[in-house]
Amino acid sequence: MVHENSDHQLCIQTIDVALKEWRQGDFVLGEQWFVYRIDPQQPLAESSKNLDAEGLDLVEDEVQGLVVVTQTCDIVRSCESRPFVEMVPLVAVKEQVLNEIRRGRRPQYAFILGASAYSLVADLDRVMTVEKAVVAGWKCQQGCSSDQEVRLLGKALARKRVRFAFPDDFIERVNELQSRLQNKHPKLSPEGEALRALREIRVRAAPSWSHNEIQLMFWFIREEEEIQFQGVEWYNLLDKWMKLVPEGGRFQSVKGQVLTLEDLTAKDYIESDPLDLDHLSD
Amino acid sequence: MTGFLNQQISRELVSTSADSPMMSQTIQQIVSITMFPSLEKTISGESIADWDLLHLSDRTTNGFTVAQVNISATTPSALNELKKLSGLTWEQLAKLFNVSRRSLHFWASGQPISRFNQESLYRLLETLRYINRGNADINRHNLLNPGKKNQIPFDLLVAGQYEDVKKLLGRGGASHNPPLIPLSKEEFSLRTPQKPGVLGDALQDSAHKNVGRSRPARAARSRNGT
Repeated sequence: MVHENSDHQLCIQTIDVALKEWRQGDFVLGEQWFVYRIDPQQPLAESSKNLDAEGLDLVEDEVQGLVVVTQTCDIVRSCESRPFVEMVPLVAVKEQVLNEIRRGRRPQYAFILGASAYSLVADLDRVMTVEKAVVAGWKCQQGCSSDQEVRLLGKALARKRVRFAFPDDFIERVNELQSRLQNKHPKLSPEGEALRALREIRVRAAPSWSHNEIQLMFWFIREEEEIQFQGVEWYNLLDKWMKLVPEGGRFQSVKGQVLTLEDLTAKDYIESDPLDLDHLSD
Repeated sequence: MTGFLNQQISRELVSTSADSPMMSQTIQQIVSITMFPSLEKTISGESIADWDLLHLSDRTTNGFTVAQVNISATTPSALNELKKLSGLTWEQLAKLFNVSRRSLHFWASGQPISRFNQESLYRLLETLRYINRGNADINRHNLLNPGKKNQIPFDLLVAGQYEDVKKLLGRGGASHNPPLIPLSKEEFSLRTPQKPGVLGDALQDSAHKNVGRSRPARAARSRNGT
């Protein structure tokens, strides 16, 4: 028993030492398998549909790598108390898609600098749990080489999991604004330039999103130095945008402002939600 | 002593999200007030009347009526609105009145302002409201940078050429937003972060012990995975 205990402790220590090398965003390449559960009577994903699962309800997909999404502080905790880490698959994408992911245009994926050299990105749509002993046997490849990249990865993970669910009637009401902003954004026009200069769009609903009569305030937060675009001033653009969000239904008052972060109080920021335009399409 | 006062009152109509006035409207109102000259002592010990408390009404050369009485509630708010609208520093604002920054601070705290400076204040405010682009740093940028005619609007304001500034910069067209109504208590509490005490007191748990059954599983392998 004592011998077994000391063997066990040695195992724990070996695994802990190995895991100390790993950080959030680090990855392993090579033949890797991503496991998930299915209903063999009703397979859904392409890979499970094409497979004769022989009544089994677990499927493993071959993937080109796996990346750790567990936070570093939890990775390095002893495996005795915290034996698991969460992994997502690395998938291959074309260069254009890679660039779009890097710019944040495809929130299903996360850009991992180290993996991008292989044209691989993290697919955040599915997560697998593995025990640390498995990870300890892998060759660790550095995913993020700076604090900034770690933070960007954190933001991508949060964006996938923590986005405010706007009410349906609001989504319907901003549909035209959303379309316009998405259409104009890539254009070389003053409006396109202005949209690209926006840091963020936030919306505040008072007294709350669930009230019967709501006052909406849109804040288009611009960068400090962006005063105007090709002779067009912000208030002209704001007028155009606000005309696309008419008052009606529960939304008795709909107003907007273009301002900088400095103009916005901390209270206003906390009381509002980011208008993540891609999410409104869901 | 009772006097009738032709009083110019600046009314705040709307607030920005920062809860400060962005636009006000001047109205003229006849009010009746009872005033007594307060007596203050000079260094020599003689008493003087504080004439600012006496009723006087004055009409400017263009018919703009300004009460000479120190309406301590309006001057500070007008001055603050001017500062918020213009985005100018106190130093820059002082130049507009040809006074020291200290004088501005006195006025902002409710100290007497002369008739002449009060007129300047309201004219400046009216001009800023006209050219307002809805944002202080945009307004400041427009005031301090030479326009198409190579004229710096700020210099024109210092010279009292308010109409020229309006012509140069044009109407701002910034819409005026209503005051923000507060969030409901429930909504606000949803947005309150965890208190530092709670965060600091958080426990780090070990992996949860599974009390149900566990079984080995065999998985089918797909080599065509995405």
